[in-house]
Amino acid sequence: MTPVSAVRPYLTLLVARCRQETQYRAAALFGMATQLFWGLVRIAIFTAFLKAGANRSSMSLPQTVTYIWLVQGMIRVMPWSVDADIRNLVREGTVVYELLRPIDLYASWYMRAFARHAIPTVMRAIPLFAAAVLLFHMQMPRTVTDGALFVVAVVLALLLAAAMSTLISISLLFTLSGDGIQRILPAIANFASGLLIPLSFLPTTLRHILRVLPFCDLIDTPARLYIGQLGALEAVAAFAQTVIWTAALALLGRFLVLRASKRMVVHGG
Amino acid sequence: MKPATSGRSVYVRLVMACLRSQMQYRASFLMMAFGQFLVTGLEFAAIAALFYRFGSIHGWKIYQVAFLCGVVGSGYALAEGLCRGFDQFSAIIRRGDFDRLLLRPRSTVMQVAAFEVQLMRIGRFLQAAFVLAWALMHLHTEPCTLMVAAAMVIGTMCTFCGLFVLQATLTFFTVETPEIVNVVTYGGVETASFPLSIYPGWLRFTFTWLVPLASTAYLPARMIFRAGHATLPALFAPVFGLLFLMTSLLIWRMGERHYSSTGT
Repeated sequence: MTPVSAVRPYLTLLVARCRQETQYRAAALFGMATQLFWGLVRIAIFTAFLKAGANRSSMSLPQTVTYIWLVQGMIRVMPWSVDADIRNLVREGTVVYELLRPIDLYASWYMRAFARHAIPTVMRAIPLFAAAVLLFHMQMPRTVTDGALFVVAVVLALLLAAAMSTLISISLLFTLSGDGIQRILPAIANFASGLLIPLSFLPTTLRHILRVLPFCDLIDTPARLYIGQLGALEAVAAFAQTVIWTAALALLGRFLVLRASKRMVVHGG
Repeated sequence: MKPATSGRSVYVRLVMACLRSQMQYRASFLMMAFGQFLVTGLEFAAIAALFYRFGSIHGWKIYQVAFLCGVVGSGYALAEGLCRGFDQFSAIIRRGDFDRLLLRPRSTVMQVAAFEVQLMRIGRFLQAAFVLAWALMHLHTEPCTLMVAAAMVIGTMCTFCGLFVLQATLTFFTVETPEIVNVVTYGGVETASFPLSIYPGWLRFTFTWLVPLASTAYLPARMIFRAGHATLPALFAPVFGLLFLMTSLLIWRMGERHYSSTGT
């Protein structure tokens, strides 16, 4: 088999999932209205805090406002929810058909997860950023380099998020309901990614710990590149860290799939 | 067996059955309750981190804002636990289950409310109650303040129950609940957790005159902090939450008359 024909089924799968995700355009539009509302509320809160102690801030007000809009636009990067289709496959036992297919289970689930994060992110982020730049004081990147680094970081963030999301799907093979990891992982991810509060605002020690964990690369790293808080060298280091974490999580996922397929008990007929 | 006669005893039975069924999956229940605790706990941690860095917000100190967060959080958790059925009402409509509820000789409000009582919301409630207790310990608290705090929690709960009822009423017309409704529920929790004075006018207007969260949380809190002790107006301001709930139940009755089955 040539390398191209080996990869083709996965690419076809990716394209099909992407097409499916683009069907939800009305949902994306309503979602954008919700994100705009949240953004305005959060900007009011952060503005009031910054006014109380501007000298203690590590980010200027325009930078903070821009950071908040970036968070609102990239919210669908977050690995929050279990893929409902996969949960049904596992509950109904039809997941065995997935194993029978002559393709790699991990790779096909990873492609699904990537499409499930990438398409809604693109569909929501672009109109939201346009509205925020035109109407709500979001800044453009200062240089073309910052903008380009931001785009690279978002792509890496999506690859990392897909690895996390696939791990959650795989955990279903062990726990069926996925209630535990499905609830606890997102709670930690919300805090550690910069979604709730820009990591630069946290106390130093905590910030250093969170910047080693993989979650910060989902939102905080792309956002800091956009607002120009990271130099070229730091950017390369951050990218390397993202790639290493993504590879580690993917390896863990593959290992777990292997374990699961050996000990799998199928419920129902 | 004696047939249950009053609507209230039917409600109690339905709720108990619901709770018993959830306790069958004890590990799952504990995990979900802990997950809820963690989600809102870390949200409060983020707020605490902001105070650690910036000191205050619009003249409000951390304990004062914690007081607001505690009131709003526990009121919301109670409402979500009790009125979850209204939140999932679009599923009831879509499956045609509402026809069955209409056939029974009990009020639909009671039946939908008892449709699902989520015990795992206790995680969120406990987290908010801890924050409230922590705030009360550090603020100058008298017995009267506790009474006002209880009234605020109940008023907030009523407001959110009213919002869930209105959200469900909307599905009589739309079948699906649009995501945008979350703006006033989840958005209300976030907005009302901070002093309302920090927001632009349209937001203040929304959460004062359309959704009375201001009079169940921000305004009584401000009265207490300004006077230094609990006052009579602060005790009675949360009544607007109750009025809001009663209004939304009236609207529910009107919507119900408009209902036509999805036919599934």
